Amino acid sequence: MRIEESYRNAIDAEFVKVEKYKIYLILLFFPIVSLIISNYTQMDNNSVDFFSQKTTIKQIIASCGMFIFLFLPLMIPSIMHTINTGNNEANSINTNSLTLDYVIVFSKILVSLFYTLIGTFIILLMTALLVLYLHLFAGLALNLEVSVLDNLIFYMLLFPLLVLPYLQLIALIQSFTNNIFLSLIIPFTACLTGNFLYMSSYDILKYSPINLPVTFIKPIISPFFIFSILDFVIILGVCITSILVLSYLIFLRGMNRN
Amino acid sequence: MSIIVNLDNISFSYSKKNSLIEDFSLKIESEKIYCLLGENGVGKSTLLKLISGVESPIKGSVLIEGMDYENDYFAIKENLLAFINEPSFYSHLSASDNLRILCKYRNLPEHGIEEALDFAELRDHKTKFGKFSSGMKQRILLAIIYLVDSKLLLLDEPFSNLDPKIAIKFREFLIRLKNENKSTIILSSHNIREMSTISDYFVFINNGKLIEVVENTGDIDDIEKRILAMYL
Repeated sequence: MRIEESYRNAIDAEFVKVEKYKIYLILLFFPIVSLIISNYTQMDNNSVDFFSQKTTIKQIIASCGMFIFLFLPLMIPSIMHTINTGNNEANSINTNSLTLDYVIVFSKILVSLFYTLIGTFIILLMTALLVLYLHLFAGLALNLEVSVLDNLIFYMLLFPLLVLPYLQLIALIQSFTNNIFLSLIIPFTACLTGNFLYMSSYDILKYSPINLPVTFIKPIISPFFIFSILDFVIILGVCITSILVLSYLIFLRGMNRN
Repeated sequence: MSIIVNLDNISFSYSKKNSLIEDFSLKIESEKIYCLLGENGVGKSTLLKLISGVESPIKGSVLIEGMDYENDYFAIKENLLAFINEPSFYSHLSASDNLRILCKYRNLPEHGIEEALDFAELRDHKTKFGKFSSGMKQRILLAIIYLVDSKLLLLDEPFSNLDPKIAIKFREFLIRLKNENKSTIILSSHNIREMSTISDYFVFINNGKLIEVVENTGDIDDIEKRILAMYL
């Protein structure tokens, strides 16, 4: 069997395996909760909750950022857990499979990424509908500032960089155990620790001379931790290293099994 | 007749204390049906696992058509179907979905699935595997064997839990596979009378050791005597 055929078949198999109603629930639940919470929570001094109609469009779009930073780390393990359901019980299939283990693992990652993108698309769609509703019925002016668009584009660029290593970490954990709590707690803790470390470095770098020369590109104003191109480079480096290390580990594990 | 499986002085154990299979040598001829006989826990299923590559021997070698698992894993697996212990599939999926997944993992066309399920009399396509009765679980194996062309078939107590009608159909199908498809079948069972209708050879195993290989002459009393003698 050619490797491309292997991947195509393994991805098809994942789509057959997955419990659709669970996935749809997850895909709707997290974006809705994210949107509601982010609109209820004060993100900066100027923002108040959506229902008092003082919400700015900037704030609504920023909720996409909140979704990526806070709700994706919760949504992805749920998706992966659903995709992995019954994986250890189908011995009669696994024994007679001709597909390499690492192909199956990567297929799970790709299918999870697909559903994660759908979840993100749902929150973007809901955000767009909310903005449209506010504009048409609540009389809020559609005043998209450049910085707002910057944020949105930045989140979209950041998305695969944040999600891929996260998916791979969960895939790695779930190849050892299908325990939902472990696959939820370990990456989530890692994510929070990473965010905390990042915030710490941000606080230090903010006033250090090293940050000053990199102002040749306009800093991206964000209600979150991303502040300058230097920060972006740090995140990029961490993400690429994580992707390489975790891919290698999963590949090694797949090779050992076969 | 050529040798399809060659077990050369193999030993296997899960722990250092007790050896489950010890210095076991056996040559399996192609296009024959072999039945492994022995008490529970003597190593019949473990032997099937070693032949199917699920476990590796700690000593000795397992050769399938002259190939070993270390170098030719997929070449061996392509012509092999192994169902060891109880049938276990995705419990949240129906029989046809489970078969679809197996087809995808083996890169096989899916158009024969309905026919295979009909052959195994599993027409209720919506019921999830988790809600199947023991007999229905066993029938999925029949559907898979019907669907997947294999030269070597390893079955662990395939007729347990089957009603007499399906059990007869299963046995007849195995004989057909041997004669028409030139398949070799190794199965384990406790039911000597049932096995005597299809087996060419009986392999007597006790405490992980090969006692003897006896050709099936149809004399069931003789086989029963040999079993009793082995246990004594």
